[in-house]
Amino acid sequence: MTIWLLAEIGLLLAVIPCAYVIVRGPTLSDALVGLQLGGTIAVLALVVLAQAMSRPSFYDLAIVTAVLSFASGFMLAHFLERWFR
Amino acid sequence: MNHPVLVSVLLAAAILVIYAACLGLLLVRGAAARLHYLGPVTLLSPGLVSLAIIVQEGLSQAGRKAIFITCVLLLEGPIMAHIIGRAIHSISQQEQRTSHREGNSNSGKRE
Repeated sequence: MTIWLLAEIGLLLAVIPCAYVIVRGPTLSDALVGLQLGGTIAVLALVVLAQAMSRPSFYDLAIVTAVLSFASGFMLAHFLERWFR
Repeated sequence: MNHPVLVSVLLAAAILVIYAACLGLLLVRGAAARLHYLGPVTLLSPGLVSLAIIVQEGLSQAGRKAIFITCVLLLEGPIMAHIIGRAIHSISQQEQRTSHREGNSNSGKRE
């Protein structure tokens, strides 16, 4: 059990509060904030996993996840703005 | 270069920042207030994790990719905070308008 694996477990546990906020809200805006935070933690979890497992391909996965979480968060915020207009 | 103690300290600091942000996310009420906790996670934690990788691996391919991911998150964080903040503001304004309209129509019925 290396320090990287311990950090990975810690990061995965940190996703639980974000999931709680996404599910419980109370509003969609709160869920959006929780989603964005969870996405960023997921990116960091992939980076740490790449180092823990010595798999450089996971870095590419983290880059793609970072870009996609930005795009999805942007689209969701834009959609929410228009939906409530 | 390999300094396991320094790597552990950097990783522990990154995890602590994330846990503090998650605690804030749970305890604080209101989407606009919760938005503030995105900042440390997108700015501090990726930098600390990348620094830990660079200390362990040096400026190898892993180190350079970690720096790139940190730059992506550094750029993306403030932009997303602005976009989400604008959406929250727009939604709250619309909700105020709707409740104001309902208040006016109710007062009309009373008369």
